[in-house]
Amino acid sequence: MKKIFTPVILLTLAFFTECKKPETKDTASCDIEFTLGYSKNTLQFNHTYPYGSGMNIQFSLLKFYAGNFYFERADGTREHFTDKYLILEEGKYSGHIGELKAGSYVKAGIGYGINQNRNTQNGADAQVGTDYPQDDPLNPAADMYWGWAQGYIFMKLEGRIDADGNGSFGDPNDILFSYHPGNDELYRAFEYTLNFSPEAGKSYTIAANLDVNTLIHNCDFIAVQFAHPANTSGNQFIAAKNLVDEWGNAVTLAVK
Amino acid sequence: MKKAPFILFFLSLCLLWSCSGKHQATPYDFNIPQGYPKPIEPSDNLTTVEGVKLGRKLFYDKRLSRDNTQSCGSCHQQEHGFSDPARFSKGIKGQEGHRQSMTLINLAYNPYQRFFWDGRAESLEQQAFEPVRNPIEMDNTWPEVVKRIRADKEYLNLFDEAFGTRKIDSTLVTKALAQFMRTLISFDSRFDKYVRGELNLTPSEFNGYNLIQSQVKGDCFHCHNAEDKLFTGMRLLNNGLDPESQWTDMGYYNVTKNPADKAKFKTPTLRNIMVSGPYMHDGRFNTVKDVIEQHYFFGGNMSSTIDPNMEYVNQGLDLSATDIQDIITFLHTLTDDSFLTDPEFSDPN
Repeated sequence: MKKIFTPVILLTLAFFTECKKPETKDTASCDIEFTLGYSKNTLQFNHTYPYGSGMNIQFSLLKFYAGNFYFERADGTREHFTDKYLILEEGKYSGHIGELKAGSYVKAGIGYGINQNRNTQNGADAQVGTDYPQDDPLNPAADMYWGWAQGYIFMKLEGRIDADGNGSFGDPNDILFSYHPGNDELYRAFEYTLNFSPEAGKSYTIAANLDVNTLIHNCDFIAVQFAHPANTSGNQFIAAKNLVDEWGNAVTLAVK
Repeated sequence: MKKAPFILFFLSLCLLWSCSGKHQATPYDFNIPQGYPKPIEPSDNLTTVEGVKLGRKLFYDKRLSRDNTQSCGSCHQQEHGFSDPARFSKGIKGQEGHRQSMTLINLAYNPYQRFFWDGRAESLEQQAFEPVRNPIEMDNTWPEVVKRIRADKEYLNLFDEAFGTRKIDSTLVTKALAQFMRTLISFDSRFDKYVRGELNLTPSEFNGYNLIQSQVKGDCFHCHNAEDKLFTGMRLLNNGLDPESQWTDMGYYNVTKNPADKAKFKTPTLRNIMVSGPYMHDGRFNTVKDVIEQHYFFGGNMSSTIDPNMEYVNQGLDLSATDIQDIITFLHTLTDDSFLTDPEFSDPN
């Protein structure tokens, strides 16, 4: 019996020793946090800002998808986080991108919206929204889905204009605006300069500074108040395009 | 050394024995149809068969009110979508509130975790605390309620089965009530049967559905979105019911004190809407037809907090009389008779 026990004990010991080996990690944890500004100020919802000629503007909602992140090295090789989507909205303008290989990066890319493959409009990888878990950004419970346009709403920007500049936003001639771009043609991916050298085992947060004044630079909320374009033509589409085209200029990245 | 294995064996038996003695309630199967959202449950109050059974009994127990005349079910009547056909429910002293009794439908889905018309409760458990001690509702105290329940031997057993304890307190009572309310799920209407491919909608019903989903016609979907099959975004919004000068009930503002939240109220579901009138937070409209013709048809009143998606404010909707009738015809398809008559949800007492 003793002859059996000895190898068993040795094997058991060997097994536990193997288990205790520390894992060698070659990645860093990477988050992103958007900070909303309006010109040189922090953007506050339902706060009054000057708009156009003698008018005022208030924003009540800015909610958007950011995803398909990548980080690019100086030699042009990339680490992709394809199909990773975050919903950014008031109270939660941050999220986890993933585990990024340690190294040195010079650029980062962000997609705004849901890319064509995943979008239910035409996507080859699209699946029924309710098949995603309830808390998944792609579940319709996130309130970013159109039934009638067969696809995701990529971003929502809503607010109101004090058209006569009298400080009240509830007068009959004041204006509401609601922009909900969400069409394959309005998906945008932009690349930003980012000198980033994550070390293995550490955690990092990418600070994404979003200037909403730049984002709406080419929007005319008086001319087009509602832009929920189901088609790729017409005033609503052009207005929505003018908005999403500015993601590149409106966002700058830095490492926190 | 020979004794060691016996000691180990004995200790293992003891461990197994003690584990088997621990309380283990049966997880509740919500039985959600495929393609429908999954309920959201708090990790510290997962729904169990025993908890639901207890919550149901409590829901219909009039001993929760000071004079033993009212239960939760008095103002939340199953056949009316767990609402009250009266504009304002009367409390035990005959006093009326100033808001219509909310329906209790699909409450297990609420990513914002805001309950009551003004969103003042941040969980169903928290919501359940309030009516008992509200002077114009049950006008009781929780110590008194707990005392009455503790005196009932059947309840002692039910609490033991649900929570593994006979030490009843208000927290466990509200947990059980919340569990029962989370099971009030309505996904078996004529519309659901259409979604499941079991029947076709009539042309009028189908047109009504399209009108609700159309931005240029009914424009209902922004707040009553159908995509997750809940027919409510569950957010607190101002739908332009009154001009700013006539605001009396400030709704969500009373909770947040943020001026941007003035006159905002929780968006109710359209499910079982045809049986759950009167309508709006103050029950001012008796019928759905009134809601459409006297309010939404005109686009609502402009104000500083009206939801920006009220696109047709001051303009009105482009709806014909036939369109309005078709919308109403469609809304009838959201009436779920099996939910409204399900014996599992009725008074067990």
